[in-house]
Amino acid sequence: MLSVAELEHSSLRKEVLNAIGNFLLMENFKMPNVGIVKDGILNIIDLISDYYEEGKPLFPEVIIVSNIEFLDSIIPKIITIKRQELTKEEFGMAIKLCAPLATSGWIIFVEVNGSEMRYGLVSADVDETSPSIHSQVVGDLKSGESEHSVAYIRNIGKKVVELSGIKNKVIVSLNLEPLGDYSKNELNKLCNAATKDCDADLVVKLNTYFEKLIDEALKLGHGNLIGIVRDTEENIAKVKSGLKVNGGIYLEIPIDFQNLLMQTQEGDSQSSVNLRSHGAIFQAMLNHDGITIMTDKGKILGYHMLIADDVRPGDKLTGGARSKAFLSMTNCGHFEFCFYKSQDGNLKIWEKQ
Amino acid sequence: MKSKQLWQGADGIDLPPAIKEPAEIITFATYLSPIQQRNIVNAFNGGAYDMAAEYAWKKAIVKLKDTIGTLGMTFIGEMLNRPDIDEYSAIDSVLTDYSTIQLAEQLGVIGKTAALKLRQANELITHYFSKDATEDLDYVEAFDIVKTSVKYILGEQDISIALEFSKFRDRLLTETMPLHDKQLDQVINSPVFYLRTVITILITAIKTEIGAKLENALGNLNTMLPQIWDKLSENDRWNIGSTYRDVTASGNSIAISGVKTALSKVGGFDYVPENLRSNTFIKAAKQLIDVHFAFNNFHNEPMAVKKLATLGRTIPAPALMDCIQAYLVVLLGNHYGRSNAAVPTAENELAKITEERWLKYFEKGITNDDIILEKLKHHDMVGYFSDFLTKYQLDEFSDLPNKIQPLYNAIVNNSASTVRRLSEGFINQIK
Repeated sequence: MLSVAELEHSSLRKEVLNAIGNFLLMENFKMPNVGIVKDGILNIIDLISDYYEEGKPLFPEVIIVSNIEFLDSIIPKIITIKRQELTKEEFGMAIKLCAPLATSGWIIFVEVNGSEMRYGLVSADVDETSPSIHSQVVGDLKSGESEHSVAYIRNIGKKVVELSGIKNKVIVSLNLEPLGDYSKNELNKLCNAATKDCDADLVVKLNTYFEKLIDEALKLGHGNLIGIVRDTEENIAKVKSGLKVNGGIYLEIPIDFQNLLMQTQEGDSQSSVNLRSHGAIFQAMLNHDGITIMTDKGKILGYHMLIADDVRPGDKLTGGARSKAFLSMTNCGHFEFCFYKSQDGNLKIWEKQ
Repeated sequence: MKSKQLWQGADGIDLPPAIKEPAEIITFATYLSPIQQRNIVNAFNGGAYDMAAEYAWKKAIVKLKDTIGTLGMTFIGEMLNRPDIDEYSAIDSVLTDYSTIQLAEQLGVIGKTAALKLRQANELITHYFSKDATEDLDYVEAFDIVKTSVKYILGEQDISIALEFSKFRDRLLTETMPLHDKQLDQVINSPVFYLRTVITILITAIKTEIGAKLENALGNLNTMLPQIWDKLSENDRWNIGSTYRDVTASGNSIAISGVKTALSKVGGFDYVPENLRSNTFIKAAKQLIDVHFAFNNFHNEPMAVKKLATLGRTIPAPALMDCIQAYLVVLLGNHYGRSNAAVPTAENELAKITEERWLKYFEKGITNDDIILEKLKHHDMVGYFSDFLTKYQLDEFSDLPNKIQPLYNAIVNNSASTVRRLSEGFINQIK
């Protein structure tokens, strides 16, 4: 018979709280009530790891700041929903009140100031082409100069949440599945491949645009496959005739995002609306079953391509139909770059050597 | 540290002091063909003094515009703080004679004295060719305009952008200069006039260049900005903030990152405009200034001032200095008087500006506002300003910076000679 002293209690809550505590320490959260913030973040992570509102999945992103001035650098539009005394329960209330509104580039902010807190929504969309808040605050465009602290929380897969700051990042898996690869910057590599042969003065801007657009689409989808092909007349003809697919649509006129983006440089609202409309349809294509085919000049060639199985002897196949399709994409010889996102958020990429 | 001028344009060719005849002076106008020279002399001989003066003046201004145009229209647009000007804009339609002289001075095409004399000539020309002129240009005045045109522009063999400016511009975009670079150090300690030009070079490159030139511009902005931020005028700060907004809007991640770091170093995010509304105000304000310094200004100012006034009740912060300047030029007028039909609108709009904003103008705007400072050298215009401040109870600011309070007090008290002396001092600091 086991004695009480030998009883092991493995607590996911304790583990995650420890991780959040370390994170807050590294990010220099020094307010007196940091314990409440720690519990509040845990509450948020728990809620947004698998958030539904009236049966519809939502993917609100949350930014916690020690001072709202931190957001000045993202040219923010701010809507305050509530100000009140700081309590751990109110973090959960912030999500409940704000999550349904946190769409189309709006994210939830929580400012913790002494024993007070306020929350609401913030947007950093200056134009269709401006980068996401995540990218500006804790991503590629972050600045290490601020005296204020930040914690950015977002769902990156089923029951998987990313907690990022200026100095460190924590992935919290609230499931018991093996850890996925979440930190290889797969999306960035995909966007680089999709703009590889674009005009030099547009590459950076198109990359930023695709990253925001595709990231938004991936959140809403049940899994995605994207393939990049070389953009030459000869190669495109070869792909169309040689790639074995069941069904799928090749667009009569590919959507040319390089061209659409170039038009927005003129600064007129029509070009911006034009880009937004085509961006929306591209997102819908990405979330259709099958492969969306892009070229390395930022064009959308086709979508809903259900590739014929091309599994070779010795191939290690794990997962379902989408995994098999990804393997077939890498084997078929037509793609320069392949991207896969599973339903539960795992990402895989493959690049032709 | 006493500031040094980084690049300085030539102050004209040497003309014999005794020269008095058009036929003599025109032989020095090497830029003109013999036929063109003859046309001017014939106009004088035929008593058509206005034709002679206008002909020489137009030729001189075209030459200046051509020279400035070599820098590209985007750069010119940035220098003029006119976001509507791009590479496809025609130089004739965007540069007035007045702004041409201003830019030429700023870029070292002409020197300070040349700029002063050319501005005077421009004022004469615009007055005598306006509908309101009651007299014709006489021989002496026409001769003076021709002489100024020849001495400072038409007689110069190789009028061009100052070599020092061109070299420094190249350096700013081809290398990232260390903080203690001798030339950079000189820039950091130079007057606002030069800082504005250097900032303009950098922000134009940040918006339009890619690769190494962009990286160098960002590197140099980051090195310089913390050193010069306190000296920069409000408009220059807003220009940098607008650049951050523009590169963010276009998703230029390299530029976003670089400008963001620079603005973080100086706590400059307050100068990032939330939207483009201020651009409309700035454009209308600049147009009013252009109209004020152009032909028929008294006739055209009412329409231009109304256009600015109807844009909205509250002037956006980034456009505040430009709008105050534009309304003030109408309120103060010029040597020949004021546009009676435009003054009430300008006064009305200036009266709507809050006390807090006026305080800001006196604290941070007026001493960098060379247009208004130039006007304040004239007693009539000091009088108009003084009357306005008294009428609208804006005459009791007492906590202005030590250097500025005496100028403010002198304006309020209508002490024209003191205002003139202090204004000249501030103009010398700007340039």
